[in-house]
Amino acid sequence: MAQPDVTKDAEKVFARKATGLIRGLSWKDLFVQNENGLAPTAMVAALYIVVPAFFPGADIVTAYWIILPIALCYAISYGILGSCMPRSGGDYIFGSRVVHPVFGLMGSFMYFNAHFMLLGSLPIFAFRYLLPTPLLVAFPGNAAVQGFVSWIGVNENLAMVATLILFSGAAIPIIGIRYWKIWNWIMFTLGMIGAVIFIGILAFSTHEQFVTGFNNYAAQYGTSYQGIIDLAKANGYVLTPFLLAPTLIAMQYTTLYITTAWPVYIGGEAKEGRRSLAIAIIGSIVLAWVITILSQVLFYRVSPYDFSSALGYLAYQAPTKYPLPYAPEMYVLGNMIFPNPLTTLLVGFSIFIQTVSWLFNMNVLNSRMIFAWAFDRVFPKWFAQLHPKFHTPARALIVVACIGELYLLLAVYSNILTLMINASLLVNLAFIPAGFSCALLPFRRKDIWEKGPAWTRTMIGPIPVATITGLVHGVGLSILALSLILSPVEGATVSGGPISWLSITFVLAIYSGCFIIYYGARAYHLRKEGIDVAWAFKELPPE
Amino acid sequence: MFRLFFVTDIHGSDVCFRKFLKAAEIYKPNALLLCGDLTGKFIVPIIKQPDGTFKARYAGSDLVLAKQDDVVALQRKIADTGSYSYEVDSSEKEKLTTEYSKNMFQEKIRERTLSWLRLAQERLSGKKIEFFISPGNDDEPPIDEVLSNSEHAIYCEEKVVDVGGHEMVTLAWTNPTPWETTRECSDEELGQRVQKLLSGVKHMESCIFNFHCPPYDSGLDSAPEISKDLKAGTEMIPVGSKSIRKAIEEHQPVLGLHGHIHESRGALSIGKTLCINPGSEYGEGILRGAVVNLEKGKVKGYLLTSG
Repeated sequence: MAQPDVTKDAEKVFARKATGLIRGLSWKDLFVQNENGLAPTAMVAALYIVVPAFFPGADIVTAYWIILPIALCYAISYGILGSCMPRSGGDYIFGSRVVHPVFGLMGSFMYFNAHFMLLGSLPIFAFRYLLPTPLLVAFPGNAAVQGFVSWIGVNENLAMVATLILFSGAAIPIIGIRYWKIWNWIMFTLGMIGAVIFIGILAFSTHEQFVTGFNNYAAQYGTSYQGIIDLAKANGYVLTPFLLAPTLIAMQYTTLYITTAWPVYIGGEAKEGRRSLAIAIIGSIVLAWVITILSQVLFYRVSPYDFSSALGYLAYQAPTKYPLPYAPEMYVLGNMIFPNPLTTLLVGFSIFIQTVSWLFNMNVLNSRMIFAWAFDRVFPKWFAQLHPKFHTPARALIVVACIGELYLLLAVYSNILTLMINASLLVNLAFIPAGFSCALLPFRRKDIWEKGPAWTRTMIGPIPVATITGLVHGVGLSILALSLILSPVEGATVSGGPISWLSITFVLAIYSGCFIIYYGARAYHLRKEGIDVAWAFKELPPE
Repeated sequence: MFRLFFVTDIHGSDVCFRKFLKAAEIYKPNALLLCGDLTGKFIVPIIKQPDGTFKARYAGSDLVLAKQDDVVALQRKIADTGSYSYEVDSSEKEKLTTEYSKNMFQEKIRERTLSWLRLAQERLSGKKIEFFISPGNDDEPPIDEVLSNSEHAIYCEEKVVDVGGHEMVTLAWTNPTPWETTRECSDEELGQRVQKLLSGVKHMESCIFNFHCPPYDSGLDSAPEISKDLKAGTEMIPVGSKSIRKAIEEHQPVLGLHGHIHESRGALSIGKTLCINPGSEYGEGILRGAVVNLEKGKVKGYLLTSG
């Protein structure tokens, strides 16, 4: 017999014994997951020297300061949306509930496709470049390392290893979210070790030590610190003082690395989702930003902008003239200051591991997106069925892994993905609808907004904070996407592919697909089952 | 075609009940089913202070309310999240005791349920919509009398009733829970209750099993493992009934309507039987439900809703 459970303090609530509602992932688990998504070590590696090479006059540190308000508004918007709608599916759930199912699909389907592009192309980058290079730098002349590099250079071997990773990334979350969580923690730890070591090396080094280390290393290849600057100048490099315009354009690429809100795609599995999602997203973005800005500032203190941009120019704009055997990655430069195989390997390995963590997470995110679509019957209900033993969306995970495999084979055996897809653009576009959904939340779905935690209902004057952050997020990313389309940079590898009529057509095809999927599903269910799938999104007014 | 709209586990949420009635206009069902765990879990005393203000502890916060309007707004909020409230003067110590709160709980449950039944009658009268209602494992027995006395709603607990030409059997009881709720028993005993109920069914293949407890290991019964001190782990385990699963597997009714495990919203087929748990988010004022279309003794289509 259920009895009232009366507390000693009469001012407290009297509770009756009854069944409860509890979920699995804590804010720490979600924080770790999102930090893996932000991949700050990989972020530093990708940008500190590449950006000055492609955008003369661009200052990546300034770009990160300018992106900060957009990134914070992005984090708060997703935090608000996740807190008000803590369920799995992310952008689709937010857009479909606040604006329209097609609007929800536009963000979700875009991200879904961006993930496949990355599932296909990242394993190649990870196993052909990110893993072998630190091994070669840490253990020069080692036969086993060179054997591995040759072995992975064979397409079939690469495809086999990448397939193994891809399907492991599906198998682990099929067995249970618990194992996937442990895997995320391992990747987070290994990823952060690299970041800490790199920051430590920079913090305890001087410019003079770096010059000495660089000269000692470069002497083997007949060059020096000053020699690099001279060589770059002889090949067309012009030291450009700081310019705002290229810095703003460079922000397009920083966006890719500072805007990630993975926890909202698994919000339905979050413990205390109304609180934990926001803490995890905002906290991890702030940490990633701090790691990035700290390492960039420390890096330019040790290796000033003129030298870094000259080195980058030779490595990426005039690669035939580049005199060193390895691209100027952070572990390569770190090894010059502190030539220790273990630290070099750990720093290099952390970039590799953070990239691999993307592969493991993207399978899960895509499976939850399909699951959410199927739950609303926008996609076949078959995808919404859980595994009878593990109670995870196994079908969705397997299908996602199979599509990923197709993209992987395309990437290994052809260059079609690199010709038709720009990752920065897809990711930018994917996140825009959520910004506008957040901005409109207090007006279009007041019922949902009012049920959110108190902080999500904060007002600045007569305007809800949700609207302000949502607009900054939505408009900010729209401007960046537009600038990416209008001012693409040829060969800028950090952009993840070219902006071409083919890549723009791909984007338009995705948008068209959203209309076809929703209205096709609606017509089918109405005719075949007498069910209007639009009911799934309909607000029920209480009166 | 016959359409039903099934909702469960609203646990006293006033706003969810009002949304439930509104669903009749939007989904246009032939039958509304509100079955299982109708009553709330908490009662909040709002204590009037000597200085005229009111104090209450709600949702983890200590609130001080200056005006009567604030009290009314809080009462509304408490009701919408499924809890009950009562006003008391700080000098009335006897109204802050265990015994008093226990009685007040029952009174408030009865009061709200009656108001719901009156509202349903008002809103549904003149419409050709049948309204079925039954308790769940959390609902204490006095509620049965209130429900069964309704003139408009069809009280269907432990009965065989006709729903659009389908026989429907309803059972609030569940297998044991860590909370030792009012209508739970061993799985074996639950099986006996099920068998007794099914003995009255004539056409099993078109029958609807409206069992609050979901079938074991179906994915509709996944809940975090709870320790003896009621702390939740991260491991999700099946907590449904083996007897109910066995009954579904053996008799293969057309439809299984379940609830009980709020976080296990979903639908799946066990053989020929479509089993649905619409889940619950009553605490957020969100009405979870399931629209099911039945035709020629089969499920033509279904949709899980959230409004």
